[in-house]
Amino acid sequence: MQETLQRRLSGIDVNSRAIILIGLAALFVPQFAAGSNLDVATRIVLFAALSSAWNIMAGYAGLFSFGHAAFFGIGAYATAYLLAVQGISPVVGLVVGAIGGALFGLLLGYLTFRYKLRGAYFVLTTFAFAEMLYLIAMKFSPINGAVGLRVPIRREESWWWMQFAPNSPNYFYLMLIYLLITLVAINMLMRSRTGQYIVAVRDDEDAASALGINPLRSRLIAVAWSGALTAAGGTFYFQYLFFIEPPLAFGPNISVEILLPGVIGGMGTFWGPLVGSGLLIILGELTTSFVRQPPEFLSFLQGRSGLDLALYGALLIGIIMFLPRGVYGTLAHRWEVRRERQVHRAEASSRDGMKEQRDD
Amino acid sequence: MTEASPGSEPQAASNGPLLEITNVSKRFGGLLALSDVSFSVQQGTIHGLIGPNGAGKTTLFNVVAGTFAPTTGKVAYRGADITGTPSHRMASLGIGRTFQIMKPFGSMTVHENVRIATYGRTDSTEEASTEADAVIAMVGLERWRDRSAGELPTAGRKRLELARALGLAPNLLLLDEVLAGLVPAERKPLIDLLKEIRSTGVTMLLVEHVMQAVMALSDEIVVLHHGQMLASGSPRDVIDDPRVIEAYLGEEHRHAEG
Ligand SMILES: Nc1ncnc2c1ncn2[C@@H]1O[C@H](COP(=O)(O)OP(=O)(O)OP(=O)(O)O)[C@@H](O)[C@H]1O
Ligand SMILES: [Mg+2]
Repeated sequence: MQETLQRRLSGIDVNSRAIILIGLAALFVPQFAAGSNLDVATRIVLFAALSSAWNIMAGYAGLFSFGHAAFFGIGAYATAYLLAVQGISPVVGLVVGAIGGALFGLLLGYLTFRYKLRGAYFVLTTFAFAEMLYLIAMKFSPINGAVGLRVPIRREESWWWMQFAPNSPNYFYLMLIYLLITLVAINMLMRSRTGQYIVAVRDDEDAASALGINPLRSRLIAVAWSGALTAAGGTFYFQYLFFIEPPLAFGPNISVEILLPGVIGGMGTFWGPLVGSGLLIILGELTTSFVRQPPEFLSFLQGRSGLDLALYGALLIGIIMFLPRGVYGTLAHRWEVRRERQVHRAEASSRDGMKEQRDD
Repeated sequence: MTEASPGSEPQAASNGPLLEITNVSKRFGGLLALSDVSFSVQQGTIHGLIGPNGAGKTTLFNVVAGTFAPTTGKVAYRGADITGTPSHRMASLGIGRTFQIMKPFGSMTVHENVRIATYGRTDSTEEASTEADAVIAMVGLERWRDRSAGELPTAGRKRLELARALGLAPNLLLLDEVLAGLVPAERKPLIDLLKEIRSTGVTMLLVEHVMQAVMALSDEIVVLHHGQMLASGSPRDVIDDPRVIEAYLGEEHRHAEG
C-alpha cells in the first residue's frame, strides 16, 4: 500500500509534488489566520497566481508586460457585466473572461510581432493597450462607465455564485483553487514540448527558427495562456472585492502589483512569483504597521503619511539592486551552480580514477 | 517531413540539383552584400564556399536558410521555388544550418538544446531524447550532456551548433565555420565526422577558412569576393586560379597546398 503510493508519487515531478504539499498545507491557513490576517493570506495567494500567469510571458517567453491590468480587467469586467447586469453566474464569467483574455492576448501578440515591437517598445505597447481599455471602460455605459459595478448580494452562501459571508474562509479557498490550477497549468505547459519551444524562442529566436520552431506561434501560445490565466484572476478579485471600477480593473497600479512579485521573486522561475508575492505583501504590511507604531526612539515617525510607501519602495530597490535574479531566482541559481560544480568534480575524479587504473 | 531520413527519398531530385541558386543578390542599404550569385549543388555532395571576410558567405547562408529573402534572384530546393520561405519552414523542408556566431539556448542544458531539434522528428519525447543522445555522442559532447549550454567553451559551442543542426536529420546542411576556433587536433575528428555524415547522403554547403579542411571535404568550391562569384569548380582548379590566389589565398598558400 505504502509502496504503491510511493511509486505513484515518484512518477510525479518535483513541482507537482510541491504544489500538492502547498495545497494541503494551505488548507489549514484559515485555522490560524482570521480577519485581516486572512485577508493578507488571500491577497498573497491571489497575487501569487496573477504574477505566475504574468511570468509565462515576461519570464518564460521574454515578453515583459507592463500592462497586465488589461487581461485582469477583461476578466473582472466580463464577470461583473454578466453577473451584475445579466444575472449570470461568475462561473460563466470566469470562462468568458478567460477566453476574452486569451483573445486579447492573441491580438496584442500578433500586432506586436507583426510590427516587430521588441524590448522597451513591447513594454510600452502593453502599457498603452491597458490604458486604452481603461479609457474605454471609463466611457462605456453598458458597464456603468466610471461608476463601476457591484456584486448583487445574495441571501445564502453559494459556490456557484462565488459568494460567501463577508469573513468566510471560502474566499481564501476560492483563491487557493485559482492558484493551484494556475500552477498546475503552468507546470504542464512549461514541461511540455510547447513550453520548451517558448523558452527556446526567448533564448534565441534565430536558432529556434532554424530548428523548425515557428516563433510567432510559440509567442502567441505564451501570450494566450498568460492572458487567460490573468483574466481568471480578475473574476476572483471582483467576487472578493464585491466591486469593480475602471481604475481597480485597468489602472497602471494593478499592472505593477501583478508584475512586482515576479520581478522580486525571480522572473522565469516557477516559484519566484509565489515567493515574491508572500514577501511583498508581508513586507507591505510590516512597513505600514511599523510607521503606525514605530519603536520608542523613532516615535517621531508615527503616522507620517506616505512614509510607509517610501520605506517599502526603498526595500524594493534594495532587493532589485542586490538580487537582480530575484529572491528565489538567486537562491535557485546558486544551488544550480553548486550542483554543476559537484557534477563536474565527480566526473573529473572518476576520470582520474580510470586513468590510474589504466596506468597500473 | 523532417523524419524522412536523408537520402532515402526515392524522388529526391534524381533529375536535377538539390539546391539551385539563381542570380541571387542581397542589398543592405547602400551595400551590395551579394551580387548575381548563381550555382547549384548536387544531392550527396559537399560544396565549399570560401572568400575573404565580408565576402557575403554568411549572407548567402541566411538567404538559403530563410533568415531573410534575397533582394532579387531565386532559390530552388528539390526543384521547388523556396525563395523567401521563413526559416522555420526551411527547417521542416530538411534544411539545417549552424551559426557562425554561435547561438546556444543559454538557459538549457546541452541535451535539452539538441532535443529541441530532435522533437521535430518524432511525437515521442523519449524517442527525441534518445535521438538527441545519439547526436551528442556523434559530435563527442557526452561529457557536457547535462551542463548548461551557456557555460560551454568555444569548441563545445561549435559542436553544439553542429549537433543541433544534425538533430533535425537534415537533407541539406549549411555549415558556417564549424572548424573555426578549434585547435588542429580537434579538427581531425570533426572532419572525419563530416565525411561520415556525407556518406549517409546528406548534402552540405561548407563555409570554412581552414583551407586544408575545405580541400579535404569539398567536391566543388565556390569563391565569393565582394558579394560576387569570383570562381567555381573543382578544388584543384579553384585553388590554382590566379584571381582566387590574389583575392583570398595569397602566394604562400599555393606553396603550402601544392
Ligand atoms: N544583417 C545585415 N545588415 C547589414 N549589413 C550586413 C548584414 N549582414 C551582413 N552585412 C554586411 O554584408 C557583408 C557580407 O557579410 P557576411 O557576413 O555575409 O560576410 P562573410 O563572407 O560571412 O564574412 P566572414 O568571413 O567574416 O564571416 C559585410 O559587409 C557585412 O557587414
Ligand atoms: Mg560569415
